[in-house]
Amino acid sequence: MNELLYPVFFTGLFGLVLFILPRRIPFLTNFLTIAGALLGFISALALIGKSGISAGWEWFTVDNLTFSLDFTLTRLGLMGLLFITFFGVIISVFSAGYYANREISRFYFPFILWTVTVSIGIVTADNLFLLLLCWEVTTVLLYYLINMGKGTANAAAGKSFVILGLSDVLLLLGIVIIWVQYGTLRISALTIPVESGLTTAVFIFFLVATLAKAGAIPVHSWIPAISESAPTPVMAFLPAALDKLLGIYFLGLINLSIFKVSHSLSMLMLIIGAVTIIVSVMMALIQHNLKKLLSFHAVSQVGYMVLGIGTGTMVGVIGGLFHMINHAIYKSCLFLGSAVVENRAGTTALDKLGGLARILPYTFISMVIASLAISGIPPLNGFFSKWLIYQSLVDINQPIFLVAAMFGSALTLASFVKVIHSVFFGSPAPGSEKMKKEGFSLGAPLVVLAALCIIFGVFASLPMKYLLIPAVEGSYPQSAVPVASDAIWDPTLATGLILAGLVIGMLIFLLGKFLTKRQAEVFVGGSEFSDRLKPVHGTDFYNTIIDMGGLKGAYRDGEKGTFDIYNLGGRIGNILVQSLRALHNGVLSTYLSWCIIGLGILLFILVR
Amino acid sequence: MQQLYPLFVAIPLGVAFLILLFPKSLTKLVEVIVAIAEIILLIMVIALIGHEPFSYFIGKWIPPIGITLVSDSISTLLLLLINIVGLLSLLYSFKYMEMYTSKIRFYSLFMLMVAGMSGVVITGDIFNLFVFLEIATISSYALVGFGCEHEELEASFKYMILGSVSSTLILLGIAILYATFGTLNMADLANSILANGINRSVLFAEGLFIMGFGLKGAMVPFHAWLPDAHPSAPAPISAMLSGVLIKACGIYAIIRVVYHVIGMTNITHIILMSLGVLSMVVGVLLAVGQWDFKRLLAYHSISQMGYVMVGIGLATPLGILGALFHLMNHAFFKSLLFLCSGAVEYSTGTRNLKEMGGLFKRMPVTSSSCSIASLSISGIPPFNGFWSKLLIIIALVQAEYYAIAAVTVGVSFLTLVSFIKVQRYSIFGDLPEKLKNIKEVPVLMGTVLVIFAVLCLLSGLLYPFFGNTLLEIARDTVIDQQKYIQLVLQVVP
Repeated sequence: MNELLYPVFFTGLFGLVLFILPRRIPFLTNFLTIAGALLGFISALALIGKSGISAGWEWFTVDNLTFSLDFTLTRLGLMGLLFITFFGVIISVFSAGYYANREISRFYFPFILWTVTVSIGIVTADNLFLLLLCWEVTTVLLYYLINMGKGTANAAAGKSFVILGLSDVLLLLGIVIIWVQYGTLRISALTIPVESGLTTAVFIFFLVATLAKAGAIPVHSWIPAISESAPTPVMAFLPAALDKLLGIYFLGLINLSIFKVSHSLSMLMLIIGAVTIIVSVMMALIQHNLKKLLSFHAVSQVGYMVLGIGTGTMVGVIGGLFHMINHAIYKSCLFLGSAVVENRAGTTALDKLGGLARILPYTFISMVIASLAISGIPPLNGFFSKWLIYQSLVDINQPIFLVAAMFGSALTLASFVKVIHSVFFGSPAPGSEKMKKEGFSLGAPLVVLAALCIIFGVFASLPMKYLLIPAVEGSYPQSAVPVASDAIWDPTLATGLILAGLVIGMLIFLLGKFLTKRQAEVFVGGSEFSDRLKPVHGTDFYNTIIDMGGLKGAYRDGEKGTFDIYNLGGRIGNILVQSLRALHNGVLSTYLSWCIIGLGILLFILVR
Repeated sequence: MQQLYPLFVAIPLGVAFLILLFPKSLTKLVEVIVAIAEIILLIMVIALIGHEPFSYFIGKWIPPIGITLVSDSISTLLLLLINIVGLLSLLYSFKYMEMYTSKIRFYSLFMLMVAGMSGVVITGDIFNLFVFLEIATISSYALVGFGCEHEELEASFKYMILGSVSSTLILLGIAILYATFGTLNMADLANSILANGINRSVLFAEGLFIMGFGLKGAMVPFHAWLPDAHPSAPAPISAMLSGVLIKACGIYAIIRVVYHVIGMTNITHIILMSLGVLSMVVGVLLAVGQWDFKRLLAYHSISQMGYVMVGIGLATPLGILGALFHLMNHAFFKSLLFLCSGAVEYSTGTRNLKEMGGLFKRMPVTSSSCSIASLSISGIPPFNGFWSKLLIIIALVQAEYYAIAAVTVGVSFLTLVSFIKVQRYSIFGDLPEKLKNIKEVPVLMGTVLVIFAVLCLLSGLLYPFFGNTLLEIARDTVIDQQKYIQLVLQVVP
């Protein structure tokens, strides 16, 4: 077998074994899951430097249509492959610990592995048909994985399948049109200039598919909907990491390789990106549930990736792709952190949490790092990729989008201050003294991800040099490469300066300790602080925003989902359905008259 | 094999009358007999796959005088579907029909329906086709009303009235053709029409046939009987009606008449495609709003037959292939869905989706099968519905019908929406309090569901293995009118 297929083979096979095996011995299930994911990761690592190899065979032929399965390893695909398998390992390890003491469907573990399998299929496909197959299967697996959650998971899963299903059928239509028009589905052989109405339509179909998978406005609403009821590791795995990798990978692919994008479509992507950033971060600010808040950020961050790729410049595309990886790292760290919190505290409602920093130290530190990363604080990874995106926006002279992106970043920080404060600081939540520390399988994935946030920030030139620049340089003239390299902000020096600043600050603090101090009772507004006054809670600060003039109505509609494409579509559909149903009144003579009228029309057309 | 060909009608017909002689105490024996009969029939069809086409002259009367039976790849395909779905529904009904009285009469009507449908697909004589059509549909009227409850009788009555209207019109069409050409043999008719050209009487007859067979095949606006009839029948009969009856008596008859007898013309192409698109859209829109599980499925039958009709009407090789493939796939997944709805009704006693929920916890086999069938009908890979819909969509785009291709894709999406609804309310979610004690269906019923689910998966994935011997040659038969005439008349037209 071709070594390119090893990652697909191992994860698929172990998934199949787990699918058949009843879940009687949890240890065996966990072992097999982790082993399958690890083998996938190792065989993916073994593929480093071997880009260009390919495998494939013709499956079957119908008339002159050949259905073939072609795999190839592009540099962009290799990047996707490495991170997909990496997240497979992280989630398998975490799930083993997370589900040690709670119920889960026996299909959870095989479906997780199969998700890895088909995701690998997407990033290594050289054939749009194969890509489509894998693309739709990821949707189905996601649907079943969400359904394994509690409460209203069935409704949420349905909603996500509807939105993703719509994008999938559009993708299918687009692929069929390409097939018929260009006679091939080989990705490496396609370069379609977007000129005519038909090609524009096809591009839009593809764009909707990628945006729905990644979760950008207006096809984002499935992510917040599933956030509270889906199993939390699934949230960390799919909407936070894999779906972003796949959606943005494919967005990169259609922009860099399959299509030659026109200016107006670039603008469309930029607008989608900017709107996504601002609207969803505003929604995130007012959330009271940790998971829901994170899910709105999972939408908001997609905006940056779309902005970056939408610019079409090399710096922008690299920034978008790097942001995709960075986002996958810190967002899945945050979701896993919230899973630990949920596991220990039994809730993710921000109002009911507090003071967990002492009890869950690893979670605390990891989540702080990830929060700073997502807010774009230097020298962490999120800052680096955002910086590239800002640069590209300056390059193409679009200050409005730049302002939107930076404003979004500021609001992101604001909402994560709230998260960290509400969960980890403040007065301890009732019952927190009995909680256990996180064990190895819960703690280790978090620490690894947080460490990656730092590494990809401080030593960002490494992934840039070995993964990102090689991934896209083929699509740009040679002259663009040094320009892109110049755009890199040097984080290593800056980190040194920041560390120096911190050390000096620490010295000043220590010096201050020796000076004289005055101790006084706590007082509020001149009167003494007493138990009657409730402890101030982090989330309360943010209520001001809801009451702000002009935003109040928008927030109310947003919370109700008035603009949600799912609800809008449902309402329009319902009108159609009801009017058709009204025609079916169950009276035989009505039905007979339809038949006679139908026959009359038929005969009129035929015998005229 | 050639000499045994009439047995496809003779065996079920004989068994249907024979088993009526048995007393009620011997029900078990009757079940063994009908099962053996169905197994023999299935073995015979399988032996027929890949066989050279032939015609069988009843009583050695040479056409166009006597009745001819024709075996070509399209009849073989239909026979195969009739007998696969027939056998599995029969096995399912052994347990399921315990809810009803007089099982022997049920089996008798069942076999009569199988005999009628088999007759329709093997005969080469258009009046004979009408007779078998009546056998199949009249037994189906009785089966729809088998429960003898108010609702079932009403549905049966409506079905019967509308069915008789269509039968009368078909008969009128046959009479017109007979008056014009003086023959009833389909190949001979085709020969005469080729010789004389398509005149107004032929077109008039064609209009009557399209309406008549279109009603049996539930094309909008002739569909109104189906959403009442299919849900009212016992589940195995719903599976037979939606799975094969509308195809054998509707789609198959239209294919034969339009392609082989009258010949495909541009105007027919437009009419069939419009009927197809209309059925597809109206059917799915009505299905989305339903809360009665079986009624929802019934509307989807209309919609899915629309797909088949679009492919047939498109009249390109790929379109017809896609249509035949979809016809086969629909037989599997729709039968499975109806049997699942029956299993749910068997265990929970309700068909209302709002009263269900969380069935996966109590009925894993039924729920998994239902889930697979839902994915198949929604066109999700790797299940069979995906492949046939894909072929139809490719064929539409190849013929540059972009708008219809977009509608097809949209209907596929709405199908997905309505089956997400089915799954959301039946399989997933919380188990209602009063269903806490339900049990999985008996083993035999469960086995049938699993077999169908496996068929749904394999008939998609194993296309390379059977596509050529089963579907592509059936498509070639459909297109080639000359070959059909030659086969029956054994002269070069």
